[in-house]
Amino acid sequence: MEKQDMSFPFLPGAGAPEELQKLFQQLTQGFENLARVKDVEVGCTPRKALYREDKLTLYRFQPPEGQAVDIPVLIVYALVNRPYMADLQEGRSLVQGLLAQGLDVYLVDWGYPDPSDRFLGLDDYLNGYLDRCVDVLRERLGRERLNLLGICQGGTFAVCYSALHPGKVSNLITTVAPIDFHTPDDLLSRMVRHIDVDLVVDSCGNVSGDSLNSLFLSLQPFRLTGQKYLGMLDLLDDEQKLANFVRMEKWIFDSPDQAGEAFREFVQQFYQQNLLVRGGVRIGDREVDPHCITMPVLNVYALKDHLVPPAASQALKGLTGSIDYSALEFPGGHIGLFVSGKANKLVAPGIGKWLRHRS
Amino acid sequence: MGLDPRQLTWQLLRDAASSVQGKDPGQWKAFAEERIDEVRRYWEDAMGGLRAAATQWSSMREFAALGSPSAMLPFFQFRDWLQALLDPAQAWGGGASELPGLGPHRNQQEAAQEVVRLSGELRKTMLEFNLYMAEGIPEVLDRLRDRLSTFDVDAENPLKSSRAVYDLCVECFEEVYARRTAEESFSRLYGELNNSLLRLRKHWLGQLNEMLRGLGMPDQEALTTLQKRQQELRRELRKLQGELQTLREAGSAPKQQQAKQQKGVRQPEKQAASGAKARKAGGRKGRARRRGGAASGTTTPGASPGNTSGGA
Repeated sequence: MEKQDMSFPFLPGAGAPEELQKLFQQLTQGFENLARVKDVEVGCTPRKALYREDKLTLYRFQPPEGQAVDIPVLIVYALVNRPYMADLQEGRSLVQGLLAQGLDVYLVDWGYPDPSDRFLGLDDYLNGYLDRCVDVLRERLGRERLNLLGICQGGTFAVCYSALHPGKVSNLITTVAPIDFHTPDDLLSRMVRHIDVDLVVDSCGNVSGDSLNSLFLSLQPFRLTGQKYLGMLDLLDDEQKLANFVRMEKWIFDSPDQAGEAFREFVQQFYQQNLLVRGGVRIGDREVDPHCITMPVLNVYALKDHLVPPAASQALKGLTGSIDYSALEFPGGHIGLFVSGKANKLVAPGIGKWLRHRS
Repeated sequence: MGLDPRQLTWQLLRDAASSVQGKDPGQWKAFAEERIDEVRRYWEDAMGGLRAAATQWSSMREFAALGSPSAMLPFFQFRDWLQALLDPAQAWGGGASELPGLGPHRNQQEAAQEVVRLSGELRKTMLEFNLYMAEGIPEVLDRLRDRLSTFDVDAENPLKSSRAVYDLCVECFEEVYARRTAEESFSRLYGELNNSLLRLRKHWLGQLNEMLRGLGMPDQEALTTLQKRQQELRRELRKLQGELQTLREAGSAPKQQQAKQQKGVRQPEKQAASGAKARKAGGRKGRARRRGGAASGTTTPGASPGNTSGGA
């Protein structure tokens, strides 16, 4: 039988067959590792539930043995995705970093809304749940005011809450928080701008986490649905890196459904009408006036953020009535700000230093 | 005997390889450009068809609505096929979608007409959206060709693998995608696509509700009403719990004052030392509660001990 010439000179360097062969080898050898990392764990810092209401839980993270913590900070997470992203794993945890800075860290976990939560509105979330969590901590700690740290949509919530309840917030920290929803590079905003949100909520009730995931994936469809997984093949022989990848996958696709009414209000007032910047956001029967935010503000944003472009966060500057505004720029992406090695060195220490200076 | 797709692919690869086999390796660029041009031409042809379908939507509908004399059967078979594709309502009964529903099942007839109308609307929007996205492909190919031409066999960083070519393709696709999605027309088309889909879904949901009601089962509307009432009751309960807590605090205040006074008679020296501290703390808590209740219009957390756990 004639021996086939396997050379393929289309590309200089390695030929295509050799490359394919290498790929199959990678797959075969890495298969065991892939099976081993199936059940990755997330959330590394021990925590204790302090308060529960409906699906919400208020947690306190336990500081490491011997670590004194004296400055309380309440993390307000987004309704989208789960808050363990702030405490993903050992060495990749914003929470650990904050504890190491001597901060006493609390977190609001909104839980997974189900159809019985369909009519929860932003008023219920902010003036109800969040306000009650703040009051629990004020009473427990014997303090009139707390430090708030909002993450992503939770940052937008923290801004609104601080404007509505300025007497309860001593310092406001926002991380990758959308403020101006109509910046030119905000694809997410353009995608939802002409969607009839009333039709969405009236016909779907709660909005499924899966549909939101599809929306997020469509921001960079070729990278996020194909290239990323081809890249994973390079990690197959490193169990640790593979586990990190799978852990991130778990977080990305662990998406709670969105309570219909809150979704309607958020998309219409913030994404479509951009009222936080233009003025006129209404939460319950009150209007949010950012000028009421007179406490010190630290705005942390990521320069390579494709979900919340830096300009969308930078808009906070000059919007509030605070005379003490600081910004912390992170040279990375939306998620990297919480889980990357660079973030460990920059973000938590930056927040710790800023807060200590003002406490 | 059918051709094995794997053999076919391998043959194609080998054909491609043989076209530059034994030649200057630098010719791979020319080869790549040729292939890209080929794909581009093919794509442009396909696009022509899509564009025609989108822009001539109305005229095709007119054509599809013509009468059908039997002498021209083959022609009108094609017309029928087209009609069914564009507007099933027309194919269904020669303009049945335009007729009012009659008789005891008139509502069902009109509901079915609406399904057909909304489905047609969705198909049209989908076609327009797909066309818009597909129009970016030639730009992707142009970018890819330009990008490939910058690589050189002798350069310090040549393209070394198929994977590198794939990454380059992804880069080009993402760039063009980002540029096209930045346009207002994308935003409108994307919105309309979703809205057409949702209108159809809403209509189906209405039909499903009708059916469930007919079977005497709870439908989505009934559930929605219950969900709404439940939320209203939750709010009302929170408000009442807050008021109750305020009343309890108001009621216990005189007793605490009385206890303090009695304690003061027995230990006047201790009261002097700790009184200021206690007043300060008490005032702080009281202020916190009052402000919390007023601002939220709901309640204070202490109002619901049954909901707390872990020693709040």
